[in-house]
Amino acid sequence: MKLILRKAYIIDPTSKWHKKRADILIDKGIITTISKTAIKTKAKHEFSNVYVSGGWLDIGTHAGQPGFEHRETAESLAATAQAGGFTGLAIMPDLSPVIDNSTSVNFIQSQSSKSVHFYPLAALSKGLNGEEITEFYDMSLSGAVGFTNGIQHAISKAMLLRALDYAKGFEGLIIHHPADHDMIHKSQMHEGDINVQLGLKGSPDIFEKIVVDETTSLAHYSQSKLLLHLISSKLGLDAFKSAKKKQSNLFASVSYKHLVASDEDLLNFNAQWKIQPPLRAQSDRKALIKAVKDGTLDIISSNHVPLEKEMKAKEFSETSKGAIGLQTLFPKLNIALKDSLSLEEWIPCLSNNPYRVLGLEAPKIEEKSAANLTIFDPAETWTFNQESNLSKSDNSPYFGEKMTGKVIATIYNQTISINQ
Amino acid sequence: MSPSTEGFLSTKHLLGIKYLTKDDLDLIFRTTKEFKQVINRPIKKVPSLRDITIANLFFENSTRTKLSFELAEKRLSADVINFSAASSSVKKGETLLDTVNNILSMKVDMVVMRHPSPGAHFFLSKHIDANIINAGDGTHEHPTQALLDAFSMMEKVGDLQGKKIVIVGDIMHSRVALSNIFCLKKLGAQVKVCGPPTLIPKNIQKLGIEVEYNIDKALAWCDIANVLRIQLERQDIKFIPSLREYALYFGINNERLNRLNKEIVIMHPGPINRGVEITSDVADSDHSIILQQVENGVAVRMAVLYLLANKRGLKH
Repeated sequence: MKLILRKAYIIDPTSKWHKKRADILIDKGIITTISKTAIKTKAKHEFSNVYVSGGWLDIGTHAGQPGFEHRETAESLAATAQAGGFTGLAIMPDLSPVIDNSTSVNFIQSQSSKSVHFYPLAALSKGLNGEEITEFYDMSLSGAVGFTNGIQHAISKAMLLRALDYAKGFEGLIIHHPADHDMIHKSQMHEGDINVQLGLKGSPDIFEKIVVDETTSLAHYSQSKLLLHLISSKLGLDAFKSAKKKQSNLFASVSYKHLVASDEDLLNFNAQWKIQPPLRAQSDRKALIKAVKDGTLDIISSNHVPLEKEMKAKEFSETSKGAIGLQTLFPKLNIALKDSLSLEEWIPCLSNNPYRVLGLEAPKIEEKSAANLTIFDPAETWTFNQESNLSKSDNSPYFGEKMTGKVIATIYNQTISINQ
Repeated sequence: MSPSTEGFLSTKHLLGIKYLTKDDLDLIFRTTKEFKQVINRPIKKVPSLRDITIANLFFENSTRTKLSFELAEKRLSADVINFSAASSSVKKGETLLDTVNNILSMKVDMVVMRHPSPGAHFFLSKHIDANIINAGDGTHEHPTQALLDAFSMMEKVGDLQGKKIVIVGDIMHSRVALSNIFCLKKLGAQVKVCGPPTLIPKNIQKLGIEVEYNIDKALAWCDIANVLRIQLERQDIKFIPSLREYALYFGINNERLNRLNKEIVIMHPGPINRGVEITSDVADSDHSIILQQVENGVAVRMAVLYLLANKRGLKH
């Protein structure tokens, strides 16, 4: 099946076509022609004046299958991811059963759809118990792209060091969420100007800094590859920056929610904004945006956490942390970053960098390359509502909101998926 | 007989002092004054809320607040139903929303609720139509306590503009402190909080107040000291080594008050831990307006119920 993009604006820093407008012909899943002049052929699918980048890859997506199919099935996850522009998801291991052996690693991959590939992140410890190391090597041969204890499960410094040391043997990637585990379970939101008005227990940013310091020190000691997943504060960011000066294979991600919202959004006890890590102050949000611009932060993540309705339909302190986010990531960033960052500055945090950090070959917009593409239009508007939401869960603060910026189509593995 | 005061609150619910305007506060205090006269007459009852049903939902223990609300409701001739979590289906796992909806399907017009979870009233206000009055939500607000505190202060010292008020004790776990701060700031008072640093939330200065860790300096500075109860039941870990040490460090006693070369007003929202945050001789002294606070509590709650019913077009 043929597809032509006419006068498409290309965002791919690794391509000579980066920041150029061109016509692109895709035939049978291969980019056959990229041309400054108009391509004469006609195709079944043609899009004009759109933007195109390598297909987006989300790191740290929370899935539902196996074990939590009432929140998200493999099918609904792939559908919401595709509509959000993602052709790849690196899936967190905290499912039931936990992804902690090669059989479950294979199972996760087998759930991939035609348009979205599921990359398993394997559990760093058996059953996420924080005690026994898992079979990293075997799982990596089966397709695990990183090892993590997830967001909710604590791990000791000794165990983390053991994991960093062990993974080094085959350049495996350790992914660690820099949060104090006591705080995850005992706090309700960021400790700042807002929690004090609401009488809610706050999580101080100093704890994030301490964990970033500790974890990067261990990675430096071990000389191992590390991704700090979901940095949320300026203090944490500063600690990461100084560690990064000493070690090049340290990486960091940020949730897009922390680039578009702050603790002020919780002023009316809006439990849909109760997430982990907590939304920080406006000053933190600005520092995180600056860090995307200067390249300190490598990856923007959806921090997609599907939850059943009942988990949010309670009084604030009883509700669970998390919000879905795959479909709203692009339009919300498109507006929130408009005045501070160009698309060329942040789209690679979705398209090129996640592949680089996971040690995978990134999709490339060059002739003869396999087409793994996300096609989007920053000006098109749509509404996020029950009809357009393709996730099985609806724990999002954005229901009923008009969105500016839409993913038009994705192409992956010879499959063209067009969003209506 | 209803008060002559007329006017409407800017809000349908009383979720917290933070959400009231200065005009709302003035209206509540004018109405309170009139109800205070009413309850000091031989016939204390008025028909203002006749045929209105009020549910008192207490998901957390309460003695004086619950009694005070119930008395206020009965003096306004409302029909009253009471619910407490200890004898309810909450213990069987029912959600707050289900519990409240079940009660509301019995055609209840107003809900007075105490709940251990901050913001529980916000959550409810998005789902039910009845007027909601917050009788305390965890460590967030206790608006009627702040209203009765401010009313009692004004009775004693007049306009609070520029008056110096210190709130002493466990600020972190106190909904009274937060509501008092919002209320007193709106009334133009200068506010300090004083207590062990572990019991004072970080960033509380951002509410436009000052923090003082030295109780003697705080007492020397203030016109009024509102002394809070140590909320041991809301502390999941130990923030102070012992009550004995707290009494030594921050307890208000006559020795401390005698060192001041002025008289200050002492308040306490109750229940008092005698000998901990305040000694009996201070609590029972002429400085203390603790019992006036209790009396004003009924009048303030009558005012709030009356004005919210008024706003809704419920009252007769």
